[in-house]
Amino acid sequence: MRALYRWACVVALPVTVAGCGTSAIGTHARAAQASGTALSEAREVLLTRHREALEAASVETAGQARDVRVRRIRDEHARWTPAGEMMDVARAALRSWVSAIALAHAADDGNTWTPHLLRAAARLAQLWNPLVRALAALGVEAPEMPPGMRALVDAAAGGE
Amino acid sequence: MDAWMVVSSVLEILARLVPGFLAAFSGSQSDDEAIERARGLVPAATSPALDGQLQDAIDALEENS
Repeated sequence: MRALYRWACVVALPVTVAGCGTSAIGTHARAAQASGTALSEAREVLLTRHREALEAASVETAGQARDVRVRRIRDEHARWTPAGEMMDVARAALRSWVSAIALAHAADDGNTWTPHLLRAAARLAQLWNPLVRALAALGVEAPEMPPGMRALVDAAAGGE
Repeated sequence: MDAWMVVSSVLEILARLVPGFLAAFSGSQSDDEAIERARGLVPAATSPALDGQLQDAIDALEENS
């Protein structure tokens, strides 16, 4: 019987420590991972389509004077720069969120930091739909806001 | 060594392995791992990459002319 108790303790301790229970910090970190994955995928598609658009502009002006071709390529590029800048603003918001998560973890105080983490997540969430619209205007299908992030932001809005 | 001792030793070994298997196959991560992974998933800057593609397209004109 003593062996069984011992076994139960050996099982229970590591399972608990390994994170089967979800901490606030872990929840934020996983939602930030999903957001990073979604932004990275959108970035790759944006870069691919931008390169294709510049190639198309080059083909379209083949045989014309060089400065005409350069101007056409620059004009095409200019259509894409706002989406690129918006992507970078979203990236900065994601970096701030991840840094806040790391600080909260280092401080070992998820509860005190929770409002800061939720605000950081909300900043990225506010940028998500404008980014999706900017990408859609260029024919780039952007990913929806990850469910984990939406749940955090909805929870924050419900708690205010 | 009685049968209980053998069973308990086997169970103890399994118990030490289970959390690792759970973490590996269920995708569960410690907070440290989750934060590190989140850092690694922040994408690179986009505007400089777009500018680089613009420059490549202009350079390609010169190569082809």
